Amino acid sequence: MGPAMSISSIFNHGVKGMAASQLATNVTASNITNAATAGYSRRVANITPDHSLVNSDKSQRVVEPLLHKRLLNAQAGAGESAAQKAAVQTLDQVFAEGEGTVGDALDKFQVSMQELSTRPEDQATREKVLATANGLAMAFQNASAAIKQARGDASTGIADEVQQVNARLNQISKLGAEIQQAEGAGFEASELRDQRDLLIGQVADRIPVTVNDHGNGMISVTLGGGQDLVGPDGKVSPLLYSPDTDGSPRIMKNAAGTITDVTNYAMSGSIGGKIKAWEGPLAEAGKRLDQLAAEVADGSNKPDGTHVKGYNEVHAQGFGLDGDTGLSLFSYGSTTEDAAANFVVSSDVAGSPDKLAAADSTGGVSNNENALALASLSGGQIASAWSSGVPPIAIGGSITVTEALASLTGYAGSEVSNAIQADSFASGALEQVQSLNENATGVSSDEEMVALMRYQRAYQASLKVIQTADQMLSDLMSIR
Amino acid sequence: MRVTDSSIYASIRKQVMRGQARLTEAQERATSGLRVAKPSDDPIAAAAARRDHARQALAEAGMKTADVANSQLLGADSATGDAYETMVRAREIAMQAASSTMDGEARANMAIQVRQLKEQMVTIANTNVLGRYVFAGENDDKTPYSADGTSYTGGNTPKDVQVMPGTRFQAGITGRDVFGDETTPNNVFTTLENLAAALEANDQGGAHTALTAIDADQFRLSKARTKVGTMMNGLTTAQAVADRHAFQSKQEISRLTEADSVGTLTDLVQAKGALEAALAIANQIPVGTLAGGK
Repeated sequence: MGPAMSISSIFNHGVKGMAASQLATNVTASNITNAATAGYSRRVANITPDHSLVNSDKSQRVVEPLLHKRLLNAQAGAGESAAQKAAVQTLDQVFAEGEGTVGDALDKFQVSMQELSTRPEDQATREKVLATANGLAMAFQNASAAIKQARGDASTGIADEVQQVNARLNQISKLGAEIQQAEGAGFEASELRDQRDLLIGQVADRIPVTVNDHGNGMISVTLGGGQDLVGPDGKVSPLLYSPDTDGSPRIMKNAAGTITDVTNYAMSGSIGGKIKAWEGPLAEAGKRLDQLAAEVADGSNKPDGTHVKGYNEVHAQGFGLDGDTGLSLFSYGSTTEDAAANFVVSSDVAGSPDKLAAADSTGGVSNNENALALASLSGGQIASAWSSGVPPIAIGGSITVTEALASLTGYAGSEVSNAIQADSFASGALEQVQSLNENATGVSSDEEMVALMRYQRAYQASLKVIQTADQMLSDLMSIR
Repeated sequence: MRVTDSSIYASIRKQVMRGQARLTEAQERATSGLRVAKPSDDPIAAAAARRDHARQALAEAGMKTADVANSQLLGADSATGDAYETMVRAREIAMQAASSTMDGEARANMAIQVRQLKEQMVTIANTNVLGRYVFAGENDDKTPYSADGTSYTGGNTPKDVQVMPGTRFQAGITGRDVFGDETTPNNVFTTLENLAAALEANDQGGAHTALTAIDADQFRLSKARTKVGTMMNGLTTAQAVADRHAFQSKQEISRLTEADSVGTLTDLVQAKGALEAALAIANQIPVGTLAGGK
């Protein structure tokens, strides 16, 4: 080749250099613009040594697959504990001290029994006993309703979350196809990939998934036990929420008509957190409350088999001012299940203060023998054997109603407190992984500022190369 | 180490959020004065406080019970005292009448006095405190004695009360224990009736006989009064115990659930300081050249 060819190749280098610098500046500009965009992974310009324009039109997404995996895990953990905390916090309200709570109502009822033993003949005192008995019934009902409401909310929440997951699975599948198409045609699909990662994260918030990258733009999203929600071919197996007849949350997977129960693999993320709250502390607290209500009314059996009387049995022994006997004070339906929800003042005595059995025989209005027996129930004669396996506090496995409620309060407090701590721990863990991932893949504007200066200089240098080549050419032309 | 814009802002955001949460908690503690406002704040303290709330409520109710029972017993005590004094007066009359220096007219006058004493005695036996007849046992809504004292319709079971759960106190005394059994001759009304009749009949020996009966009545009355006094003492002791229980429970609740004011204030100041520091740091994030810095 002649010398003119050499000068023109200098021009070519200059042009390529300018183009490469322009591209790199463009990438930097994109990074800066998206510094605060959620889910944006920074790009680096892909400049090859020979400044090949074919290659340099591609920028590369910076991703850390290992961190991304840890991030999905941490998201599921944080989603789970946050959902569980939100669900069980109801227990804090139900068992706090205050007007209208079971504890307050029980105190007032026991006090009114004491007053009845002091003034069994007094109509106002009798009315008060009925009022406080009714207050106790309302408190049991309200507490039960609040716990049921929390479980209902958890259940509705799971149904919503399942919808959210399904919507995202469909989008993930659609994006997979688009990425495959774009990249197959030689276009870059970084933004689509960013979007997909964001969606995967939103799925992981709700249900624990892992992701397999098949290298061809397609990924599979998998629950535990190898249950594909998005298959390698992009086929989506949506989730179904179908609670059991008793309301127990069940999560199903519908793979083209084949329904599989995947509940056991869904025990993390916000869905798992809600399932755990439903099955765990909320169920247990509700059960214990029912048991307490039933035992207030009908007493219980100690582990040694001896029966300890409740308010109904003691009340039935006595006589009302009108001579009636054998009447119940409370009723709660036929089974311990839902006893708190069905707890009411018995129709035997409701609205009839004269029927309150303060006496142990007919006749004297101030006969308070049975009222004394009723009042002494607060002092330790009602036992609660805790057949549900709660450790008994007192000797012989029997505890008073007051003790039983105190123990239930402690249980509720511990569950909520544990949930709060778990949430704090999980969100801390998530923050840490997020920070690591963010530092690896996010945009640093200082770094970009330096890059901007560098590419500006490179651009100027390339211009200088062209200018120089031009000068050389012009010098050559001016030879006479 | 590579540090990105979002992680700087995320970190600042985290610190500010934490600072706010901490400040809110400290403010809640300071304004409510409670360290344990809900069970999760301290489950063990909350459970213990629940027990103490129940204990306090029952102890306070027990104190009221003791009050009511005491006012009835006070009534019984002073009535028994009056009854005793009445019999002392009757005894003086009987002593005079038993002396031979009295004539028939004087005895007849004394008879009138004795009949008045008997009426007084019936009134005393029918003493009513706050609507309850104190010597009528379980039938205390009705006058226990007929006007002549010959029939008693009160109950024969003295009333018990419960001051502390599981402990019972006798807090009342029935008519027959105080005034004697009206179905036998051994009762104050018969004694007074017999004395009056003897005086009206100018029966010196009868007046003398009445002295023995009066002695027996006085003995029964003073025994009854002692019994009432013992009950009152017992109740006072029980009330003091209930009072102490109520006080201790209240103190315990306060110890378990209330925030100590110095600690709360310190927490508040610290939390405020921490939040202000986090916000100040947020202001110190360098403004890069890109964002218009030089």
